[in-house]
Amino acid sequence: MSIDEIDRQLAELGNVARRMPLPPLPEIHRRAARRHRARIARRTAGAAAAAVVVSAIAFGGSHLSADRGVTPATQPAGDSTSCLTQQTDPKTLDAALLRLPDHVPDGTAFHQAQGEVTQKGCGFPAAGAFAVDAATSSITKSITLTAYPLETIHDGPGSGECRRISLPGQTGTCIRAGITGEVRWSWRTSGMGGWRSSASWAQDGRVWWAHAAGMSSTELDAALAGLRVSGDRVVRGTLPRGLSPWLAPAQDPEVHTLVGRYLPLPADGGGSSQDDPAGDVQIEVTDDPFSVPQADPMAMSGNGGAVRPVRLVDVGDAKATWREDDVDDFSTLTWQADDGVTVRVRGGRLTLDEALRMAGSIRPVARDDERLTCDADKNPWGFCGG
Amino acid sequence: MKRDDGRADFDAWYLHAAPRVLASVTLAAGDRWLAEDATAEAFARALERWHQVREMTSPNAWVYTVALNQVRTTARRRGLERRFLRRQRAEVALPAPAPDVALWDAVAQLPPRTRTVVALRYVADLPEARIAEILGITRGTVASTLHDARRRLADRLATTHGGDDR
Repeated sequence: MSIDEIDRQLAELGNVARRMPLPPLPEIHRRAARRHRARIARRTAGAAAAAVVVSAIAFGGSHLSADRGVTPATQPAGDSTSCLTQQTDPKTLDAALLRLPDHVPDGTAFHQAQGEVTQKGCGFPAAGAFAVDAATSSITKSITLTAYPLETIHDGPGSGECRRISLPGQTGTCIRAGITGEVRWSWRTSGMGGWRSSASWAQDGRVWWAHAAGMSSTELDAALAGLRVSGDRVVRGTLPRGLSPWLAPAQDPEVHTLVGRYLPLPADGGGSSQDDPAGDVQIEVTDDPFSVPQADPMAMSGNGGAVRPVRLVDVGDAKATWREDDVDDFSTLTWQADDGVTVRVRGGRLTLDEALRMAGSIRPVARDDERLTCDADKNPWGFCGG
Repeated sequence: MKRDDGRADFDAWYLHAAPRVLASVTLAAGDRWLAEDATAEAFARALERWHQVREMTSPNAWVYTVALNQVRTTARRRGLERRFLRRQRAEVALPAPAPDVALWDAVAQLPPRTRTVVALRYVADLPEARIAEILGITRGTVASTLHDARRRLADRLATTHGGDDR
């Protein structure tokens, strides 16, 4: 096709805007009012909010060592709360999250810090379980379970019931299997020579996805047969024996995160440092109790490309995972500090040595530290919230 | 006559500007739901500080910047596994088939940064200088990105339609 023809078609691309239904105007007004109320609440109830955060951290702390979950109960299906992350002034975050490294990654300069608040309804994982080979410090097996609202898609590739629990473009099989105590329709996919597999099923207004790695189909079947769920949570004690379990807390709290960004220095006088996003380095310090340092990178690895090894390395007294860059995301070093706060260091060209250097230099920062001063005018991506 | 703290102005601006913002962000994000959320959030922020935003040189550029930033932040927060699911669903979430659907699909296959530039230029109908401002890149980078995108699209659509050429 000629460039002239492309230009002609591109000139008409904007016509698509006329066919897209807008979010209704009252919804915009409601959101603005909610933001206004939240800002007022932050000003007047800061102490109460801080208490909630501390309590969330305490609840999430050391969750890798205990199989905590919910007891069976009937819960309403289909939480329709939308997933939303809002920027906030980093100085308003709990002091436990105010940490930044002294070491600035090679070839970058500190850009700015930003606070984020993520509300419930984001489809966080409900549970995970994993096995670590002590000899090689590598993760050999994992399963992650996540519940999403069951939407009537009806155009997945499966037949019958599986059309609702499969996704367009997937290749898999639709079977009947014993899952969570009943025989159910289940959509199964596999990839990476069978090393990765997934199973989905519908239950109580939700579609559950189990993503497994390093588990045989027999092991996956056994895991799902023994599993019990309640609402969007997994019931304590029903994850596969022999694996280290992790379960999400019973309630979705707000998740608070401090993000520190380092941008690559311009190679020459021309061009902006933001012309090279793969050179960005980012540190995230979060009270996210849904973060699963061991299971997360395992579940993610190989989603769209080759399977990447997940290595266990030491950051102080904590075990951290190092996941190499793949087609979809930055390389990431993740660990959980002893107070339950999770830290991630990520970068497109970040090396493990450099990530460990940053990790080793992380220190608490005071609220009056100039790095926490949010400057909305610094660049078009910077927002200070409020 | 004074008009309700400018709300009427805002409503008119929203109805005029939002369709192109939503379409552009949808194309850039590759995800209709994420784009709707980001667009709604961006306009809500604009409404919240409308007295400031309406005085800006380009309220449109401001709202594009906020919406695209929201997309990046939300996508990063949700994590890869959830992104994987959305990416699959995005195929059914894009606008209904139309005569230009092949081009839309071809643009959607471009790398994220390239398709963002294409979306801002051709869907949002913004000049290169404004795109450079929104994305924090040079105008030269915008121009070269567009040049490269047009070549890629020509190649891709030539391949796609190769067997159908009359």
